[in-house]
Amino acid sequence: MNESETREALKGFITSQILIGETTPLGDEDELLLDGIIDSLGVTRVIGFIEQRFGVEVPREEATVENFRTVSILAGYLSRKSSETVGGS
Amino acid sequence: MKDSAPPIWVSDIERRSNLTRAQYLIWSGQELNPDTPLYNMAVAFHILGAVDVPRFVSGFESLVAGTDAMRMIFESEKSVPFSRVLEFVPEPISVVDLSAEIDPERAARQWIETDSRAQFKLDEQTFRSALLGLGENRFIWYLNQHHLTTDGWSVQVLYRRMAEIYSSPTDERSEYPEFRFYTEYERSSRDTDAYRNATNLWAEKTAETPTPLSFYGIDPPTRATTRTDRWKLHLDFERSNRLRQLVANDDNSLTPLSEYDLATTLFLAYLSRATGEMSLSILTPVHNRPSRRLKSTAGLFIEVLPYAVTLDAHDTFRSLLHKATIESSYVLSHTVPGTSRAEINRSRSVLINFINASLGPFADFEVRTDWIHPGHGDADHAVRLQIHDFDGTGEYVFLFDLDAEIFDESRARLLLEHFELMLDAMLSDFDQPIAGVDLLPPPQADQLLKQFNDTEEQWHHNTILDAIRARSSADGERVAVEDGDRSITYAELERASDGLAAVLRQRCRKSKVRAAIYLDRSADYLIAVLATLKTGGSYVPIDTDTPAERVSYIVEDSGADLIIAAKSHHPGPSDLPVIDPSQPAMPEPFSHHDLSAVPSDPAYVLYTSGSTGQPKGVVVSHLALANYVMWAQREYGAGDSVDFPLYSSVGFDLTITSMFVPLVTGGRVVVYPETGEGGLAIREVFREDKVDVVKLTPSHLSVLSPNDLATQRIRKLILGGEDLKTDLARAVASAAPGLTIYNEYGPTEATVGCMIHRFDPERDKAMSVPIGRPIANSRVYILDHDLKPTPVGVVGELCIAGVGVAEEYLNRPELTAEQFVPDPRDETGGLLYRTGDRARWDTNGAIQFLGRADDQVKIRGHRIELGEIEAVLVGHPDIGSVLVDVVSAETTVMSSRTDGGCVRCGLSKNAPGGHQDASGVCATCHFFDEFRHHADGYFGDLSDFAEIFMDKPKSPGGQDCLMLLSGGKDSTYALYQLVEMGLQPLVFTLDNGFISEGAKANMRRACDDLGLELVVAATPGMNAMFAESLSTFSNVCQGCFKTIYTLALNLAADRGIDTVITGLSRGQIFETRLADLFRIGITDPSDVDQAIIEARKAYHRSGGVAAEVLPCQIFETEDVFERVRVVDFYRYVDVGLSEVYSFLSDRAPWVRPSDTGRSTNCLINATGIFVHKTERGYHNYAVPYAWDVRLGHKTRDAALDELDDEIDVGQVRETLDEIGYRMSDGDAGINRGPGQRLVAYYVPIAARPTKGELRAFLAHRLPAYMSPSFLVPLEEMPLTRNGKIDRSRLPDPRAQATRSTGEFATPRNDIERELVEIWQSVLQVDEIGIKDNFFELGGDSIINVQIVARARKRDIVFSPRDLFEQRTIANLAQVVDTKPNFEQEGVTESPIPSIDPGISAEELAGIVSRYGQQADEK
Repeated sequence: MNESETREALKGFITSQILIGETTPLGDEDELLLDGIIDSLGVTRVIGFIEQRFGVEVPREEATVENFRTVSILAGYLSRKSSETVGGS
Repeated sequence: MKDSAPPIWVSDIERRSNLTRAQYLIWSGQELNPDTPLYNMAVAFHILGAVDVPRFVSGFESLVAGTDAMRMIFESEKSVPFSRVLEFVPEPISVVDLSAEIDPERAARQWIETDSRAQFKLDEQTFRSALLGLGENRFIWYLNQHHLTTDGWSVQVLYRRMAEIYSSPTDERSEYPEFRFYTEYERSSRDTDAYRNATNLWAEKTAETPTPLSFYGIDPPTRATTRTDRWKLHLDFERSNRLRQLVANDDNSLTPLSEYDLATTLFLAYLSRATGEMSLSILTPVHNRPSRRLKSTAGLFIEVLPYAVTLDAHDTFRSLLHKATIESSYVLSHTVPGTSRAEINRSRSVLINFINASLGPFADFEVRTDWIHPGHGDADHAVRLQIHDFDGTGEYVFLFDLDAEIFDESRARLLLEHFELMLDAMLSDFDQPIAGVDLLPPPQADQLLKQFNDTEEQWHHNTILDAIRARSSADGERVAVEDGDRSITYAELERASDGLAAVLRQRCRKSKVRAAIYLDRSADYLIAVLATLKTGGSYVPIDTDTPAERVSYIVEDSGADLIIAAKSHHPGPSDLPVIDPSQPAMPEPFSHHDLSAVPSDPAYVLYTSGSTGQPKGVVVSHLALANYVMWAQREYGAGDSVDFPLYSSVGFDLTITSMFVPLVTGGRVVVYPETGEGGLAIREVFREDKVDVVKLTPSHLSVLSPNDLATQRIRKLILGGEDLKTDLARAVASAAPGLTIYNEYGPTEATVGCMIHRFDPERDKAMSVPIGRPIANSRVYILDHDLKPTPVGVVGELCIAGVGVAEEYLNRPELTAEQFVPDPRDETGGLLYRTGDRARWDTNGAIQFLGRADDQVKIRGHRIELGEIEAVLVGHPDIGSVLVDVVSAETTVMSSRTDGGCVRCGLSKNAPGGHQDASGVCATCHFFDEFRHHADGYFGDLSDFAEIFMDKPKSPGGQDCLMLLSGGKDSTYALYQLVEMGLQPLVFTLDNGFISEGAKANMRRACDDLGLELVVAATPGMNAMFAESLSTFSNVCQGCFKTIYTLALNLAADRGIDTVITGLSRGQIFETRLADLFRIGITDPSDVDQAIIEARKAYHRSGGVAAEVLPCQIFETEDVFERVRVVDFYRYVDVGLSEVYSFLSDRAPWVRPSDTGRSTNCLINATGIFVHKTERGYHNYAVPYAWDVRLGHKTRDAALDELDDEIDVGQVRETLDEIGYRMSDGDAGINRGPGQRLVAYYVPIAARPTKGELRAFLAHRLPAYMSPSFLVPLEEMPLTRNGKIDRSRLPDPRAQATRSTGEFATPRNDIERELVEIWQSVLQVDEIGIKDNFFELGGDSIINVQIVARARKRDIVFSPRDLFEQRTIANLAQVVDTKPNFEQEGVTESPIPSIDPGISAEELAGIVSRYGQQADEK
């Protein structure tokens, strides 16, 4: 899965499962946290989704604003994580 | 479901909506409790300021106008609830001026309390609000909403909205996000994978039934109630702040350690210590407002989900917080809207709700918020902890809503006290082990450890010999012992024992003789005991019915110097001198001055069951013995001389009381000799009625009749040796009100008795009679593993200290060190005996006894170490590993998991068609693979069903059909579908006398809802039908089915109705209609239908009890079979279980009954299951459930789980009595009496010893009471991952035991031997006797053919019909032909036999018997 597919998957999940009733479409660069688009419940669900969908485990200390700030940043983080996993195996 | 009904009930025009899942959860809870305000959420906002009243009122009006959740009402049509939003709510708020009241605050409180407890009319308005004026600057805004339209967050939304409107009023109507949007979203999302996955996940998690949490010794109330009291713990700022600092974020993680996790950690820590459970499963609501829009929407959003954490012994607060964080992440990451369920909410009794909402000031006024408790809560919840800080003061408020049945005031205070102690411990040291937190504050510690144990006393005599001698000196001519015709005075007793003592010393050439006394109860026995004590030595009592090997062991282990025994009956060869006390040679006179016993010397060594396979000797000192006897003579004699019977076995320490207490009071010991069978001597004691006090066990007591208890002389009973149940004590007290009943507690190691309680029928209400207070010079503690005192109410180990504690286990230093430990509270270095008994302090400062902790068990008064029996069995040369366990005869989980079921469908091996191939797949699954395509032709769809009714005239009564309704889920669903199709059924149900109230209510509601006529049939012949069904089929269902079909066909014929609809599931259709027909080659649907009609005729004409007790005349002619057809609804509708439940929960007023266990409608079900499993060895639902699995309607795991029924055997027994059915007993007769039985599981090595051999082996080595009732051979012991025996996977012995119900008969010739081998391999049964019945062994037509085929290979020739007719190997062997026969065709060794398609009488009989087999809906 390339980064753009990852972004779409993340947006699809966030839009359908978290942004319930929101009308503005979610952009790759929207500030998820600073603008309060998702809260800690949302972050937890996104992490659950990531683990299930991408098989990537997100340790608590990596669930940070730096990594979760926008969809595009998060997708970048995930692609780094995946390559680590592949490299390590 | 492919034919799912369109959602026609949702109508946008009327603005009606179905309920969300969360609303349905609340709605159904309210339906169950229509008269209690359990979901009233009332809040009082105390506003400190001069509120502008008109401005407030008009502001509130615009709040209501703009908030659809507030205008939401709930109606139901045909009992299907839906919500509707009113356009307008007139006068939504009232203004109440209380300022003129003398005490406005109090008036306001009263007003609020009254209103908060008043019910809502949900179809009119779901909130009430008022502005209470208490003074110029003092107002209360009161808002009471039904939980259907609000939650904690919603209160915040409304408050903030109201504050904003009040601060800046506008004329424009405010527009806020509507709840209606969420309703629609939630329903539409049910079609997503996320929803389905989460629903399944929560269903699985809910199904992991947790151990129910028991608080402070209270058994769950028999009736669930909603009555709840709220208890508040308000934490000051300082402590609240320290709590917050514990989770102050140390990094910038987005999943921070939260206050919620910390609160949960604290609560779990408390729960683990208060309940003793380490595996905790509770509930938690999740706010479920992930988006900004939902965060600003008012209404009910929370999802209540299960939350589970398992603590280990070393968990600290910090490590538990880590676990809690992981679990909460898990729960949150699977929180999908619409996934909570009423079942989840009802499945756990404890809930924690952390409300993260704060309200802030109102306009510029300071506000204090009171959340008002309506006095009720969910009936299934014992404890609901809600934590909030609505006012944003930084101070946490902990609100405990406690079920008032479980928590009286004293228990509620215990909870608060323990919770707060736990809280403070957490604040003081976050890294301390939770198990070590001290929950016993100093005043309580003083009361329980010191005051309770303040028992010091001095006695006149330090040995009982002194005391008895004093009696003799005072009045030597009094009778001391009465033994039949023999009567001995005190003086004679003294002389005789002096004389024998001298003989003993002379024979041993020493003082302090240790004598093994092997004598029947008699005057001589008493003389021998006293004589031994007089040498300064100690005696070792051995019952004369003790097996020889055990006698030798005891004699040797005790280091006895000699044996005192009758010449005519001595224990066998021994090197030791044997002295017969009846023939004393009189040596030199005995002088008291020679007496050398000092109080600390041993007085006796009493052998009790030991875990090493050998009994262990408890060494008791003179001082301990004297202390008990002196205390007892005062307690029971109160200064008078009292007579006791000596009737119980001498090796039992209960007997000590009866021997010595009368002698120190100057009373008589009346001897009742051995009668050969235990328990009978006690009846003689009561019949003769010539003593004052009787010491006995509860088991003894329970064999006495009220007649026996109508005594003149016997005034006092001392109960000991076993837990005394209050019911028994009460029954005795009411039969014989003049009797005083004492409950005496004490292990042998603490010398007979160390605690005493006098039974008081008025005061003693718990299940067991209390064990009371410590006796003189004794101290009793309840301690945890670390010997720390347990908090009040919490289970611990009963430990004993003081004079009565025994010295040691003879020759067992290691065991002694384990059980007798230094008493940390005794500065003089005394010992503490750890009893292994469980107990707790009740809130009145009394001890509640809760039974044995370990494998040491007491059965009928005898203490048995299971390990001892295991060790003896392991000593058998042909036995490998062994496990001995106790099974309760009261309730049992009849597990089916252990049967090694088919890897595909789960069908147990021993069920018909359950035998497996090498890969573990059963024959029926193979059969199904081959024949399932025929079923496709037979099953149809709804259009086929509709065709049946096309152009069909209605009955004279205007009905299209007769529907058989059981009240269960499947038939209810079918009924709704019929009506949905426009059909008008007449509804028929049978009240078999055991239909649950819940199911009846469901049926009534459904028929009311649908406007249908319900005919409830009942027949006096029902019990006869049940009895016949049990004796023929070992279940109850057959009797019901036959009754239903018979009565329903009569009714249909009577009313001119030509179609009867059944709710048989597809699995049942396959099982009862199709499988047998397919097997014999009938596969064409019309042929199948015809064969079924023929089977039905035979079924109804087969006579039996039905012909006598039911109206069967109509079956005499063909008429009824031609006029009335039977149609299986699910032949045309394929629908999964979850869809059925989901439909019922949305559409039908169907509530899962709570009174039937797993069954959804019938209370006699358990009886049928129990009898079937006992008599046939497998569950009677095993076959239909396996079909459900094959057809994809259940998972294998779910089916097996459903077969694990916990059954109350006592209730089953009562039901069987009522029906008049006598069950065939198992190996040892499971229904002969209540209580516990021993079961030995063992793995034979090479040669398999027969059970008979083993019983003989055991009888030589163990007393009868230690001989297991059940012997269960296993191929191997099931082990856990840790390599320990996994008890949960051991088979139920009762099911095993009945494999061969008759006597076991071995083969007598070669043919029988060969047949046994063939049967064993095909039936997969290890032990088959030649008289065992083919069908009882699980035989069926497939197995029959396999046996025939295998036999033919060995040139043993017979037909399947021969086997069906002969049924046993013994009979079959008579008819077989031993010549090879190659002509016969059609029988091959194959799991799927091909048989001549002609239908034979036997096979028809098989089909007929199964025709009615409509397994009850579960």
